[in-house]
Amino acid sequence: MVEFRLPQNSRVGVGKTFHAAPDAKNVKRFKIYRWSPDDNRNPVIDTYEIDLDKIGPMVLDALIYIKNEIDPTLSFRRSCREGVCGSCAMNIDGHNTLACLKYIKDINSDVPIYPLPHMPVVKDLIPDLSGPYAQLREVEPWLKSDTPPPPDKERLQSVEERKKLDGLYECILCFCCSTSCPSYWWNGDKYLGPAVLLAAMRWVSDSRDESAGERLGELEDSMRLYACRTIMNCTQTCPKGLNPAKAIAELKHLQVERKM
Amino acid sequence: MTTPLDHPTILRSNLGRMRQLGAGHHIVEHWKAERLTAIGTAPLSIWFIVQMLRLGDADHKDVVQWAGKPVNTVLLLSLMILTFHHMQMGLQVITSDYSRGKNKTILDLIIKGGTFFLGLLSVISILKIALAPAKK
Repeated sequence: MVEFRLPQNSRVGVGKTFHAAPDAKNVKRFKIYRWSPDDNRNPVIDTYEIDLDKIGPMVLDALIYIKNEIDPTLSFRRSCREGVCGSCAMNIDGHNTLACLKYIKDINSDVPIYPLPHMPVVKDLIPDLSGPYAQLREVEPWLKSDTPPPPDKERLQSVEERKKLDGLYECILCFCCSTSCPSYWWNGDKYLGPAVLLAAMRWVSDSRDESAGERLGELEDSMRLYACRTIMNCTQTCPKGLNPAKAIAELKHLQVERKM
Repeated sequence: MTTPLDHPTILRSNLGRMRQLGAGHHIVEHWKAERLTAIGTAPLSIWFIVQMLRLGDADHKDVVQWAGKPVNTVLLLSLMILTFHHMQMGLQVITSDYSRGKNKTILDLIIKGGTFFLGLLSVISILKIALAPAKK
């Protein structure tokens, strides 16, 4: 049944501290989750004192500084450094967000950084997202249409039809929302999670797609869609300001509508 | 004694694991009923509380007479049926979050049986007051 403590192997200990240079004036402490599959040890929190005068304004700048200048063993994903690729999703100061969009000055105390919650950890801040990726594949996030496209032309969409995709198509699949959701923590193998359901709604809403009914049918399951308990952590945490909770509610409404 | 070599016990693909046994269907009615029973019990509960406050000083005969009026009987029965139906569905939602496999099946059966028994008990009690009140 319910487990109230972390499993023995997941309990986090205290790690090393890397002190800032004595002449540093603007010092902030970054407390970062460290775990490596090669060490056969429990995870620890390493503390890095960083001189903020030497780095850019974002948390990702601090992580890159640490990796380049202090501790090259620190592992994390990053690519675009401007909130487009979704690689640097992690839990910073208790919230899932993108390290590249999070200002260091917005965090008043030390900066605690953990990998996305409740995912298997590959190393340090890198979570194993193969589960959510498989779930995304499960909702078939591509155009499914029996009508062939017009010859020499793309499939057309009116301005009104295109508007229905706003707030849905912008998702970058960082999975901040899914990994912030208690329903997803409890039943992540059965519940699809907000990110994947937002993607499902994006294709159900697309005027060019002809398989909305099939898509809704595949979601009509007590866990896949209906394990959403409207906790709304997804909407609160989304670094792109999207509203997966609304997309989930709309999917439910469409399912009720087709049974009327 | 040699210990068996560590090896991965699950090699099934992620997609196969996530697809599981496919969609279960028949959940939309359940979801709709959860909401409708919640909406239904709200005004009935307010009505019930107001009536109980009104009958605070009444004696046994007055209460039996009140419950025996067809409108009151129907409203009482509706309140009981909606409440226990809602209770059963709500508890089932909790088991689906916190329990799995055989445990879940057993808990669901206990919940269904228990709420059915309690619901039926209250329905029979109300009908007894309405149709065959004890003489006092």
